[in-house]
Amino acid sequence: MKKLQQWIDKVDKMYHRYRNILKIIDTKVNTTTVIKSVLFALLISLLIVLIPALVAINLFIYSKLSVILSIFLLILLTSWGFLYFHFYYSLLKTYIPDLENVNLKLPKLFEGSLVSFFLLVLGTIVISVIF
Amino acid sequence: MNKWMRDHKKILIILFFPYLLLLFLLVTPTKFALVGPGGLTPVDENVEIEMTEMSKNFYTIYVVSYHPMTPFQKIVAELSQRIAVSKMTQRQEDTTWKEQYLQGQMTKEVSLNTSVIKAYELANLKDSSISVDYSYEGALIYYRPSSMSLLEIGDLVISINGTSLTELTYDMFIDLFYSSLTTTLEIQRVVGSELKTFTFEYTKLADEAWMLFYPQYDIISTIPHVDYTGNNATIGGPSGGMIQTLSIYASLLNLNLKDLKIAGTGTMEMDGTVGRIGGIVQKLYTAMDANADIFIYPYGHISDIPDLDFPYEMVVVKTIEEAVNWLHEKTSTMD
Repeated sequence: MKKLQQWIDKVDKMYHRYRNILKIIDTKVNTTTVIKSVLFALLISLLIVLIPALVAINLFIYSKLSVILSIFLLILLTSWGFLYFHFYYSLLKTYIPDLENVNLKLPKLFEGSLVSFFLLVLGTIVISVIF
Repeated sequence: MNKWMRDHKKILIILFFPYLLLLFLLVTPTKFALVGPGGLTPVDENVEIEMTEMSKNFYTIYVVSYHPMTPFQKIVAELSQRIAVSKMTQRQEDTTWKEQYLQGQMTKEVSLNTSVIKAYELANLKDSSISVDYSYEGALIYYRPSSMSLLEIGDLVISINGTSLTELTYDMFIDLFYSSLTTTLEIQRVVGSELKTFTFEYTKLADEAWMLFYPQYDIISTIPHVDYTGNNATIGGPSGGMIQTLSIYASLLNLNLKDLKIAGTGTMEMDGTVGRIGGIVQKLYTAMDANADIFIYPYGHISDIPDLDFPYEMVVVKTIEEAVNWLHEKTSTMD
């Protein structure tokens, strides 16, 4: 019970740190830099996952591999969430030098996990419907 | 990050070209189609008969059929002896993925109907309490050239040149249709909950393939009652007809086949003929991988069977009656 309480406190602290970092970021960014970062992060992360995803889809001609390929696609989908936020915050840092001293690891991890979890659930539903 | 990109500018530019080439290999459609080994589907997953336990011994075999292939798939497929690569037929080139899916689902349903009718008729000869009542409704459109956008896959032809199809047999309709380059067809289509009927003037053009049809039999009633429970939308086609018929027949008569795993392929025609199917070699490999005990296939494929050491008993049948006789012999040897 004590351990659970400690764990909840830790998560709560992390969440507050994340909120504070977001507030700092919000004061420094403007719409143009956000749009540029989103578009370039989307482009780079999609270019990275596109080829392995297409290879996996092409290999579905081997029915024996379909389970492994489905798991691989799910992993790829999940990692895309983290990749996107990694590039988004890295680009934001490039466009706004003031963010150089802000630790962006927490928002990357927090938002990446959230999106990846959502994609994982969505991907699992789609794959289970297909097979 | 900008600094990293500036430092690696040359490498990134060089890598861009193989990236584009790989992308081209992975997405460009070719004019080739493939058939590869697939898997087994238990027939009892597709059919449920009232107060009857479905036999767990029978399996239909599906293969992976794919067109158009990408250049990458062609390279990979040609490395495997088990995958057959061929040039796409005129009809395949003229069929979209959606139409291909509709064709598969339509023929699966037609094949299930035919299987139920044949199995019940044959079972009736052994047990008169089993019966089926059905009617011939017309011919379903399986393929039409894409230029005839008014017609859709699954439309029902109910009359030809003013003669109702219920007054003709399906074979008579086929003879009539293919004997003339122009015909007037009356088409029935289900739109939502309504039945829409219209007339279509068909003219066979020299550069287009002929239309293809499947007979539509409507099952009015069966004793015992039968239901289709199959929900695998990714598997379609008529090749499971013969094995479905055997499975329903064995279930109706409660034939004991112990734990034999019987895989089979072949279409089921209303005259009892077991017809040819696509990808017979790939189906042989699929049955091998799935550890089948028996493989039943149509006589029409006897010359297509490769000289391999098959780990299962091979049974070749011309008609469903032959298959049923074989089934009774097998059951008697197992008692």
